[in-house]
Amino acid sequence: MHTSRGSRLWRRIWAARYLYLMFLPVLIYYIVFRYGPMLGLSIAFKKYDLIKGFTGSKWVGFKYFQQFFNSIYVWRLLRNTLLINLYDLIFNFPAAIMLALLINEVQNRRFKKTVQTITYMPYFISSVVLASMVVQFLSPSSGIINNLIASMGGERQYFMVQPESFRTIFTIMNLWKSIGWNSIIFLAAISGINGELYEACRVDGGGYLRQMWHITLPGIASTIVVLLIMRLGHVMDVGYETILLLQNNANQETSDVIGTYVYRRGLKGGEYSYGTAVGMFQSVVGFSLVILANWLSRRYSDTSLW
Amino acid sequence: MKHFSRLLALLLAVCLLPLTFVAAASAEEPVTITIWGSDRENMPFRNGLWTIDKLQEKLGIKIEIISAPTENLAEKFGLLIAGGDFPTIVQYKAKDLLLYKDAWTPLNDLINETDTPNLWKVYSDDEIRRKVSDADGIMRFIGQRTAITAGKLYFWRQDWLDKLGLEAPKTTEDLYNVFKAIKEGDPNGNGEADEIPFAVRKNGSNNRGNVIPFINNWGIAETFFAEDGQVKFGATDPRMKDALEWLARCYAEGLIDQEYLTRDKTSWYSAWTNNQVFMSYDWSAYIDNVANLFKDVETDINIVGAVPPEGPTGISETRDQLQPITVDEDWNAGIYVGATDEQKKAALKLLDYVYSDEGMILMNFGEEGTHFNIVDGDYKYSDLIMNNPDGLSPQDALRSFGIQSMLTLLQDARYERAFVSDEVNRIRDIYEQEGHIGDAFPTLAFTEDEQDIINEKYTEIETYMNETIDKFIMGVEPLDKFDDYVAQVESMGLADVLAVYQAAYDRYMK
Repeated sequence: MHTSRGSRLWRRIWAARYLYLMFLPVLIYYIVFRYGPMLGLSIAFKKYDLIKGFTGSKWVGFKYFQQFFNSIYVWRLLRNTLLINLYDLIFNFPAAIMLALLINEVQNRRFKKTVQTITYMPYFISSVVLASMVVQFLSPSSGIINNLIASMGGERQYFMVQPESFRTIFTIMNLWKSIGWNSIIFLAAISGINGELYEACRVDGGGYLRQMWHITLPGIASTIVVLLIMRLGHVMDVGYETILLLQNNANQETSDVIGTYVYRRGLKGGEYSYGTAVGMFQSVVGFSLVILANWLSRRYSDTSLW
Repeated sequence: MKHFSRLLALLLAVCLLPLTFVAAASAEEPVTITIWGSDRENMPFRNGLWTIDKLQEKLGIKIEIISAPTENLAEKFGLLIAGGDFPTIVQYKAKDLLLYKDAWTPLNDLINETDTPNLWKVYSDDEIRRKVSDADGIMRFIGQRTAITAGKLYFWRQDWLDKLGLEAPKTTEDLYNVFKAIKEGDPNGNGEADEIPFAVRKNGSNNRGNVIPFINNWGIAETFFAEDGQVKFGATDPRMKDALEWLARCYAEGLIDQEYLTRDKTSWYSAWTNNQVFMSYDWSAYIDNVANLFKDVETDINIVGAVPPEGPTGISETRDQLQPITVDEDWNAGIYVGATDEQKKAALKLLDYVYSDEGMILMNFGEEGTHFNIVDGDYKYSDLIMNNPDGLSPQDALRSFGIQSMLTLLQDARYERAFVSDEVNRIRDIYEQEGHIGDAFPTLAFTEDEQDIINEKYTEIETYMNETIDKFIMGVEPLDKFDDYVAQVESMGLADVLAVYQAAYDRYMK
């Protein structure tokens, strides 16, 4: 029984051997670059000594996790990380959907393509350039934003050192950078909707808004949910490279996130074990959130990742 | 099938052929050593530099440079260490090299009179040797021997002082008044109060490295410093509050650059050329760099070095000096413990050579007749350097050959003097001779347990201190909160950290 089942499996694999062959590189990629490095996580529980290596380093248990949770910065880091992501979820995630819906309604093909190209162009600007552009634009003495404020009689503001402005700056910057790019996948989903549905709606007297509400949105709902679940997995991490470039002592209160903290202590300060422990905590929370979101989604709707 | 295997054999043979050449050639190949070091925009450290080729020729070794861009050097160093694929020589900051002290070959026995006479001349001195040793007194790297100790200086626009008929300020209060007069007197004559009396480029890991040195005039340093054998922490010292009061007052009235946290070099330079800046603080060479900005413009600009303003107790000093051995910069060279014996020997040979007279001339001046000439016993750079045909500034021209680079480990006062303007020489002499250079705190070597305490407690204190000091200066946090801030730092374990520093300091002084 057992062997026959095994051999049946092998026969099936053999039948689809070319597909499996094509899949092989992906499998190897995941093993080598995604699962292999996970062995390195063990240094979170060790006092990692570079010279002694993985095996020679002393086990210290949860010491570094304790250290992190005893830090006076732990709540600030969690709050900043979650808030920046929350801003992103509330503003940038729906914005991409809206842009996709708007672009979809544009009839003129040429105009549509132009808008699409222009909106996703900023995505290709390197974050170093982007960050220095932001700093220049917001400069109190020479930035265009402040020149605008001053010309309207307002008072010049030094935005980059105001902790209360950081999240807004970062969110707007990200919106500008990635709205076009993020809308592509929704546009693709929209183009997959059966055109007869729209016709049926029109026959029933539905205008553009009705079509959007009753056909387009439900049509891409599953894409939205799947992307949302995946996005939730990243709720604990932020593209910290850009933050690092915009960060300074004065705005650190709101700009310091787990990613920049790990960078500062782990990579710059050479505390690899500590950095790994914090990074691992971050991943575990992210992983749990994906599972939770998926469970909720499966329970209350019929879409889920698995 | 037979046909196929014959083809295969032929293919294999062709593939293997180059290998035999390699094997034959390697018998005569010189030893190859690799050097990892900071590659700067204005000080390249790359393969193919003239001095590197010259050194290879001279010493019969092959040198391969691994250039690390200076912008994210700390990260690159971390990756180098984590990667575990070490070059023969790593050049970096002493305190970071000492974090991985076991990675570097102990040099105590290797540096001696017969094998490395030139290194011996410098490192047989105990005072110098302990600067390059770890907590157990084991010598771990070779530093850069400096010729001039005056490092960073104040400088201002004398023409503005003259124009407004102002006396050169002596004390910090005088300076505050001069700042105000500059701000209100409109010396650039555009009818707007757009002057920035004190503007610097952002510097140091907390960006305020060129603003904070004012506090030295209150007798303290920003972090650790020693007073009568006692290690103290400047940021929570009562004198810090007074110094911060002055800084905050200047900031609030727009006398200190409002954008000091984000002003990079380019924007600093343009503030100068826009006729906005009165005074600044930076490495002495910047006096010339700033003056050069105005070279092509017809102005009566006059950039003059200035001594630090006297604080309330009459102290007029800066602690940003160069030590006899610079250890907190990127020059220190550790030799990887896992390198082969030939490589270690070649590395020492190289380091000894750049410490020799001949090597010093090569690395500071280049080649006689090409890069410099000897006129009446004085070393003078040639036209190739001073009036470079490609239009490079003298400094850039020199460094484009790799002269005055990462491997210039023995500096020469003649270079230092030949290269800068008379004004820089004048003010540097004044700093050195009239006691405007305060004691710099040594880079200490910690034991593993001590390092654990620093990692756990001081890194958090440092973050908190860094943020709060800027808030005080910028007036985001009123100075009444200073005592709360001190209490907070103390509750974060400052006493433990100070005890560790004291122990390491006592060991160092012994």
